[in-house]
Amino acid sequence: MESLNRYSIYREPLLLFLIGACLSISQFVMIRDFVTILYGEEVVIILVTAAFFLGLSIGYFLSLKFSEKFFHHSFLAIVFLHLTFPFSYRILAVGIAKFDMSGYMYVILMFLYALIFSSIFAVFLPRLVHEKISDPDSAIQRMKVLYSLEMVGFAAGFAIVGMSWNKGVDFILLIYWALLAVVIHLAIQKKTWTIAFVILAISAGSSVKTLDHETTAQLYKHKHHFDDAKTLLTINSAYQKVEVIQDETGELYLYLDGLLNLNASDLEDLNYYIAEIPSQLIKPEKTLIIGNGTLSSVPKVYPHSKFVQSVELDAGVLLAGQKFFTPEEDLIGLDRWNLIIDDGKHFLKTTNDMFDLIIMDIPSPLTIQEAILHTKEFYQLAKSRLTEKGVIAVQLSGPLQHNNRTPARVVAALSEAFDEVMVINSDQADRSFGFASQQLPFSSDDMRSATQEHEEGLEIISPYDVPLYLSEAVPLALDNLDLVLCRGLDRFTDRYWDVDRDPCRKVRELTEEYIN
Amino acid sequence: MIKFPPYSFLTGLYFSTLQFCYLILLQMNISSAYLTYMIITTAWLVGSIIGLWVNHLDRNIGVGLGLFSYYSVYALVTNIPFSPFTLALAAVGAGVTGLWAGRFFIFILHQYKQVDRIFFHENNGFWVGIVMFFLGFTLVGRPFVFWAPMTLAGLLLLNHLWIKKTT
Repeated sequence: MESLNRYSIYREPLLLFLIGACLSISQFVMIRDFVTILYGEEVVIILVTAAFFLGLSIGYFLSLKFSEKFFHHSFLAIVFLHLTFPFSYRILAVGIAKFDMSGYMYVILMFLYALIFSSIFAVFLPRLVHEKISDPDSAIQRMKVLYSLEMVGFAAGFAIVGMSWNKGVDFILLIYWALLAVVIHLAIQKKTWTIAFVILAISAGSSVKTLDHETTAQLYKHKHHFDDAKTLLTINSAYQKVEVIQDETGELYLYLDGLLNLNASDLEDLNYYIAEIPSQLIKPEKTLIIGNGTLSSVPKVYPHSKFVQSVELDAGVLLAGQKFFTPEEDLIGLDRWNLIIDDGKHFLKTTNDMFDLIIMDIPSPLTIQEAILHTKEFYQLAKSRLTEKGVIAVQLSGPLQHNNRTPARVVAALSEAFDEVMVINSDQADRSFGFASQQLPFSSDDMRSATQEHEEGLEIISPYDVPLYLSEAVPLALDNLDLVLCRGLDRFTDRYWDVDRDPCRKVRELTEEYIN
Repeated sequence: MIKFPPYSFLTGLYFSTLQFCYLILLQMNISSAYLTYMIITTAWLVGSIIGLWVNHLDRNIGVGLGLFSYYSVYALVTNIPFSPFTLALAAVGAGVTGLWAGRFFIFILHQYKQVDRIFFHENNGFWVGIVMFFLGFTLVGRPFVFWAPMTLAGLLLLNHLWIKKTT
């Protein structure tokens, strides 16, 4: 009798605690997975996050609209559907890609799943508080207790998410399902449903990892247009989903949040131009490599530099790099090399070292965080840690042209911070590279002779000619990151609706009109 | 009677703008490492939980205290980003700002009994705030981080005056 009383006292607070934890986990799983499916520009991250919160709003809106019976039935249906996540929506996304359906289908799919994923968790708190609304003091007391516990649960879910970093989704899913089983038990209070859920969860649990790898491979095959794809690694790091995919020829690809970061062949050219050539020309005392999670440029720089410092933020990318892109033996015995896991900005602001060469091997500025590392303010910070003739080498994510696109805007930002900027345009690497300094220690001729054997037709734009390319380019700056919005929208609309809408053109035209 | 839907919406908008402004402020000036995100979110949650139980937190003081904390952290991370105490003080600031995020629900429940609608409107404001922050920061940058919290808090305080007149 006493234990029954205790159960009834603790049932609701415990239920709300678990709801909070589930909400935290489902938010993490859903946002990560949908961002990967739709490809992780900041625009997509915002869209998916907003969809998740919209799902919560709908849950709040409907929370008192239904009878207890209807609520129980819909809750059970949705919670059992949770057992299919994230695989069911990956399969549906594969179907949309396979049958070449409209891009709107992805957006509908995302909102539909956001509704299922989040709305159900929003229903409990208003319902439980509302039960006591005729007695305002009890309702308020209930609100205090239950909302507190929901938030404590949210924090606990946050800790569970932290434990799942650099692991596959199988790790967190099994914990999530266990929590859901207890939620069913506390909410419905019928053993049959709890047992049914537990049996299904246990039988599905053994194949989660396989399903994760297979549905990921299917997604790459149909949505990324691989002839054949094999998932070698799929993990959630603290910052993004990190995936290594192998195609039918055995080539390896590194994807971050669904965006291609590099493939093994491109890596050779990338490392050659961004790391090997500048270090060969400068022979630096100290070299700093920011990014380059694969660590593949370290062995290229090492023979030419007396000390090499690598700084990478994401331990998940390092894991993928060491497992698939840079064999451990390539890094063994490099005693003049050091690796720190840190944010590049933070490292530059806190180090006392001065460097002769800084290599910026980071992704394109498609998210706010990445874009900050391409701003004139960041380059000014880098300049403060460079020696007199120190050089910063930057990959420009495309060929430099006479326009206001990413490469031109990055070079414009470099030009704001440094007196001299040289750009090389490599067809082989399919992009340009910028080298900036207060006083470049090498000339265009030096660059030509160093690279001649590797690529004959390399276009070298001397510091004297670079400004000619920048007449339309607005430097990327902390107060001007519109590129993240415009380029993100541009890519998103182009990808799903096959139209080059240039969504920010109107804004630009209006601005120009206003300025003129 | 308080015009609670726009007030709840505005409050949600204020909370999400402030939360994201805290985050970007720390990411720009200190570090983008996950620790920054974790500290701000956890501090905000702790503040909100405490706020639920602080009975005597007046609405104007709640909003004002949050704003004062935000601009104190703004000044701190801009001027001394790497003092050993900066991150801890920023967490305290986020926690103090979070107080009203908890207390608000008790205050509004006293006024308006429809708990489902309170959460609905506040949450709508929150997700609109996420979108607004993204647009504001990418298009305007640091001026947005400086002015948006102040503007929204100003609107909330004006709303409070109006509540006082009509109740």
